[in-house]
Amino acid sequence: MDLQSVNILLVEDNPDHVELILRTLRDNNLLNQVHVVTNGEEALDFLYRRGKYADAPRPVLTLLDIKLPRVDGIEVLKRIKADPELKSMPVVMLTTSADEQEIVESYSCGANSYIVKPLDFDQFVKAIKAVKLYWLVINSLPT
Amino acid sequence: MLFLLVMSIVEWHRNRFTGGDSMKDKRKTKAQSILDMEKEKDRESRGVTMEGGEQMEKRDAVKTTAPLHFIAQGVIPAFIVTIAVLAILDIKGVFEPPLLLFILNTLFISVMSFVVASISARNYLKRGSLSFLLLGCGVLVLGSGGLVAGWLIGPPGGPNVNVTIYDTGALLGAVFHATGAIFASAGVTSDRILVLKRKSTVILAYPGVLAFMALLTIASLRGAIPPYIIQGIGPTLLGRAVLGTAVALFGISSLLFMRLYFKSKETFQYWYSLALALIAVGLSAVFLQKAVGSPIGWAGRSAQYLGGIYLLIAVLITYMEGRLRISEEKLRSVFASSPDAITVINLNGNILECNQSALDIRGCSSKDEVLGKNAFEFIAKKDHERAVESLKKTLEQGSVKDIEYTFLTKDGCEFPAELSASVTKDAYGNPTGFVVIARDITEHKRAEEEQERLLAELEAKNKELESFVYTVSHDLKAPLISLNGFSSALQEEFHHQLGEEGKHYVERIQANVAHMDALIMHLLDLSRIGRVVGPIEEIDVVTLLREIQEELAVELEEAGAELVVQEPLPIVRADRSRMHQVFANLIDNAVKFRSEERPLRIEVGCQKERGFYRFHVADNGIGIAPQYHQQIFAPFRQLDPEAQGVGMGLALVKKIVEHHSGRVWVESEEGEGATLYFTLPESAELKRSAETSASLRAGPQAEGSAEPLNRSQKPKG
Repeated sequence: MDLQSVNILLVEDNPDHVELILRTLRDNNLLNQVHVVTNGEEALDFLYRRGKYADAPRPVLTLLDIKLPRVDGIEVLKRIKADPELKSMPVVMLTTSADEQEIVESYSCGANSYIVKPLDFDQFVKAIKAVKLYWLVINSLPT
Repeated sequence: MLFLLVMSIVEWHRNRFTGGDSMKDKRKTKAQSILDMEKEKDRESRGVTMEGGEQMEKRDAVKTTAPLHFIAQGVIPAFIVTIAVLAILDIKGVFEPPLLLFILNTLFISVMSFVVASISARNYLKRGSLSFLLLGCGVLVLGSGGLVAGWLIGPPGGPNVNVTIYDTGALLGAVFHATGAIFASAGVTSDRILVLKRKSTVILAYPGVLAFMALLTIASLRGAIPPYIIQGIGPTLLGRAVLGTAVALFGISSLLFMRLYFKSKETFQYWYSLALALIAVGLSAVFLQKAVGSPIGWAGRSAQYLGGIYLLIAVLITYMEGRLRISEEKLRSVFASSPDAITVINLNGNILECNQSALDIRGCSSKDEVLGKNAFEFIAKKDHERAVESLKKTLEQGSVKDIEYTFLTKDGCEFPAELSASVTKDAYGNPTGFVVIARDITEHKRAEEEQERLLAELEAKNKELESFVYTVSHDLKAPLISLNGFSSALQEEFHHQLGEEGKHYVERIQANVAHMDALIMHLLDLSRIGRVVGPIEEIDVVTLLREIQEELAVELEEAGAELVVQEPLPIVRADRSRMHQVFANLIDNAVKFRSEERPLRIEVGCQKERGFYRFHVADNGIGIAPQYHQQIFAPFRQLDPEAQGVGMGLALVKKIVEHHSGRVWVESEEGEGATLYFTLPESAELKRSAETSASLRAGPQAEGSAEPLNRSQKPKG
């Protein structure tokens, strides 16, 4: 599988966090395939190829922050999982806390994984790398 | 002899009259009781007052005492017959052992009379009824006369003195009794005609009477009084006159009182009248006797003794009735003045009686507006069925408590009330109606509603606050992540350019970020206590402490600390991870605040109190000055700014313990170590929390963990 051609959607509203995540992904050669949107509404537009995202590619993985403006992360997750076309796409929730309620919610809505953005960036790096590895390599993704 | 015959016939007639009366009495009583019952039923349907009940009681009393009365009355004709027979037989022979008369008189006449006189005096003082005063004087005279006469039967008096004193006493007594009877018949019962106060009257009357008797005695002994009797022959004219008058007066008094009894049915008058009759009979025997100590004389004496007993009964009954009336009065005043509305209803729900509060609660001003009406008129229609059900239940159970209904005032205004009801029964145990006590709970309900509203408001505010803390800490974390991320990136990519100083600065940035993160974590934790509580389980505290001991092994060793666990420690019901936090925090604190001067010794123990356990974690460290004992439990408060840690430990402990419905406090002096106490109720009940995680356990978040997870794995705290 050609890792270069994999499209990833990152839904994150905090620009600093976006930068840090992109940095990690760049260090691991995935940068040019990462598409960034900063709110839930745009995420859905991207996924449904609406408006300015009419030509958007279908991402193979979505990194979704829970706290988002306009449309909440959990809400986006629900919509994705409710859609027959999208629901097979793996979604990883990013968040600042491991609050159980949120965990439970995301699992019952069908999230595939849950990562707590740690302060220790090494951990974060490991986490992202692990996600990459896990999903992209270990899992066989539907093409 | 003629005189004798006439007297005895008169006597006989009179007594037949009373005897016959007793028959008529009974028949009349029966008739009256049927009438009363009819009247009662009538009154009931219209609404009867308490007095009716009283009459019913009296009727019952008469019914039950009828056989007793029969015997009491029957004695009189018996005596008359005996005396008549003895008079005819004219048995000679005197039976007068020395001291016998004295003893008998003392017992039956004197002692009895004095008792009667004192009770009479008491009755008079209480109720001011003239009859009692005069009765008292009468018996006092008789009593003292009998006593003295008894003394003086032998020398120096002799039978004549005895008779003189006795008969004169009898006459005087008769005068008193007759006066009393006349006054009573004339309707003069109160002593308002007397000028003096009651006490003074008694003080004057009684001793006065006794003084007279004393004078009489002296006079008689001196021979100043002509003889009343010649032993062996019979009474002299004087003697006969005195005695005859006495007998007549007693007889008249008896009749008058019996007449009064028919009208008013006062038990006292019944027995008084009989007593007087007996004394009359007895005295007439004395009248007929030829010698003192003859059988006829003894018959006479016996009759008088019995009369004395009847008098005692009469005054005792009045005395007891008086006490009954007092307690009845007490009850009545309780009923009338009770702040609760008390209503008495019959089996159909018609109101028979009620007190002032019952009128007030219904907005009525007089009893006419309520008596006779049906209680259901004052209950809202929607509650009628329920009310009927409750009444049925009351019949089954005997009473029913605290049921809420909507009541109606006379004008139809609704208000909530609490009712309790119980069954009233007749003497045979059949239910006759209900007593209903009502309390207007409008205010109470208002207060309840207000309380509920405030509680809801409070809970909402609490929720708001907790959610606020949660949001804030969450929002505070995001920049921390960025700070850490960028400072790490800085270090990684520019560490050549940074140099030693630069590296140090970056390191300080990261350290502070970590510190801030810890603060926020604690804050989050604090906010989460109320929101997310783990499952309650039975925790063996000893095991828990051993766990903590292992976890903190490094710190404890570094501090050279000794941890002593005072067994036995109980098994408590609480959230395990939270309890872990409590003990860990307390022990950690002890380690942090140890003294340099001595090796640290930490003691953990427990005391069982009533309903709860009191745990303590005591150390011999640097102690806490009393002025800070409150402060240390506040979040972010640290007494020693140099100390490591976030200053949240004790705040967290406090929140956790209070969430388990316990208390936490400290006992310490500066320089003398500190003992932290906290209590846990025996049956741990957590305060109401907004969310409870059923399956997941909350643990302290030191740092977030990031591990790739798939669907089947549960996240670890």
